[in-house]
Amino acid sequence: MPLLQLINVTKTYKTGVFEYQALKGISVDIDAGEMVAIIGPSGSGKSTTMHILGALDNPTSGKYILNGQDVSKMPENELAKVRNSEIGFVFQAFNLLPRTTVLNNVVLPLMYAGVKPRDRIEIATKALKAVGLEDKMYNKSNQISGGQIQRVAIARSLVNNPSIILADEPTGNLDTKTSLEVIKIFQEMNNQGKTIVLITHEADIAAHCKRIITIKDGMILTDEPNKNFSKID
Amino acid sequence: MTLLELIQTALAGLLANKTRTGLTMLGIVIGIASVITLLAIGQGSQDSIKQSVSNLGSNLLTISAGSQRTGLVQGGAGTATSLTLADVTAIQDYAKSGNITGVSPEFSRNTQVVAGSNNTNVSITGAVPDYATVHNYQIQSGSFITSDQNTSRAKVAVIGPDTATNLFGENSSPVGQEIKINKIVFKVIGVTVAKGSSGFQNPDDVIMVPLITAQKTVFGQDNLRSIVVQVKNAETMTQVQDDLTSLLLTKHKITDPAKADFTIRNSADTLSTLSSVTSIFTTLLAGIASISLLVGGIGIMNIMIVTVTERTREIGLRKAVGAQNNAILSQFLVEAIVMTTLGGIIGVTLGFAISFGLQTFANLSVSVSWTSVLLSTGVSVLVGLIFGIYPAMQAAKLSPIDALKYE
Repeated sequence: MPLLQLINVTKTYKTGVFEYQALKGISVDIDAGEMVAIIGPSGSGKSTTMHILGALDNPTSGKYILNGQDVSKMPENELAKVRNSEIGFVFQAFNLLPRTTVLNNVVLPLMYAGVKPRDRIEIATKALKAVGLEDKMYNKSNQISGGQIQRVAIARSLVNNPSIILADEPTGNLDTKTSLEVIKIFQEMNNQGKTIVLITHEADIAAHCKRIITIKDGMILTDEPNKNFSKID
Repeated sequence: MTLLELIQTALAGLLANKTRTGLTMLGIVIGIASVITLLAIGQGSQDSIKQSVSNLGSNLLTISAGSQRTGLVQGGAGTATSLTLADVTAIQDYAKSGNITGVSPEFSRNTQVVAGSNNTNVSITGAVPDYATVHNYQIQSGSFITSDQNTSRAKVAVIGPDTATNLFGENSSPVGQEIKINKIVFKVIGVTVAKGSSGFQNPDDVIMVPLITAQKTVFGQDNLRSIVVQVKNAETMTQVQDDLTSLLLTKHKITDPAKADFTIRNSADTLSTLSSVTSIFTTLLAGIASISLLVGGIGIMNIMIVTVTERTREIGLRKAVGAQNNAILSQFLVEAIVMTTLGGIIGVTLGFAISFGLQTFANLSVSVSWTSVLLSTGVSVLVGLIFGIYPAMQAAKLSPIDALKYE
């Protein structure tokens, strides 16, 4: 049983009388432990796919089955619960709460999950250790570098032990060297068994994933294992 | 999130922009401070009125000749002859029952008084010894009128300290000196202790002579202006008032109480009328001050709407990691309430400070009540709730996708 299943998913946006079909029927199966890149030009529907995969939005038709649960028609408050327990987000920018310490950023999902304060700190510290940033625990979010911000976001994405880590252009604002450092962390997590889905428009970033899905005009073009997979040392 | 955490998060949010928070709170601070101060001044003046009225004598029933008059104003010495010394005797008999601590028949009229080269027109009061008890006068030099002096129509006078100054100059000792009342020579036998003016009458500017002397010798009249009775206990005042009413109706052979030729006024009623007037005034002022609270609340709502807009991305992030609508609503609502409550507390403190400042430097009597403090704190919490709910609801309704995309 795959961990994620998109079954013939469509998404239509309506503004007044104007209708725009962003996704025209997408079907994808992702198993636990995979590292998948979804690549496409802007306007291809990859953002919409990310929104649906991330339980931020409902498909107009079709089904989305996440970790055995059909989340296709869930109302917003239930989607929030699903996001909290099943999804770890890493965004391109504005990942962290401004003027807030690194630690308080990482504990955020735990707070909304109702975890006790003492346990939260323990779990968050472990996650920060995993990305090598425990010494920056009490720094404010505006006192760390761009690459460090992304690593903190990755630590946060781990704390609730989600089914998937969903990264939307995580290296979009970073230079080449820092980008590779960040992707390396994703690869390490994948080696430890985490399922990673990475949305990008850059082919060289997608090259570091084990499976590449290309999207164009709201439909999947190709969906193949990456023959040129390169692991970062 | 527990309530404590909500409050901590709210405080963190507010401290992030101290200037904005401070300016927004200012409306509440000023509103609450004004309400506290105005209520304190109002309560203070009510207290000082009570004090002044008690100074003139407490638990008093004033029996006046003539039919019912409305209002607080006592008419001048009327020509009504309905109260006589026989009435006084009857009341003194009744007094043996123990309910009454003083019976003071009185007569007064204005006339010319001359002392040395000073000439003034002043009110002369014909009084008996009980007058001092009933009206709470003490003697600072000399002595008060005695019963013998009354019966023998002695030409003696007891004067108030302000009258002493007016007639004999500052730091004088009037006892033993002579004054001419209506061209008749009187000897000053006593000066009263100052009581302080309450505004409507000056109890320190008086001349008292024996009652019968005033009636027969000075003015050639037989009637009494009033009989003032001091009741022992405040609780029995209504009872005594009723008793005396029946007693006098019987004595005057009147069967219909509506046709009574006298009135009995209860000092408690006077006090309560005065109190209610000041109380209405105070409430009005406090009400006006509350308008600034309304304005302050609107300011809070305005700033919270701006804050929500500014933190749209933050809201999107929180929702993405699992915050449900209620969590976002609580976060912003608590922020508004914390802001107004803090403003309220600062306002109360400021109100206290201003009140005591007025008392110390402007000699205004103030009385800050704990009720007004609790009320104000409660109101400031309420203001935060009412004016914070709309922006908080707007925040909660944001769609995570739109919020995340917001520039």
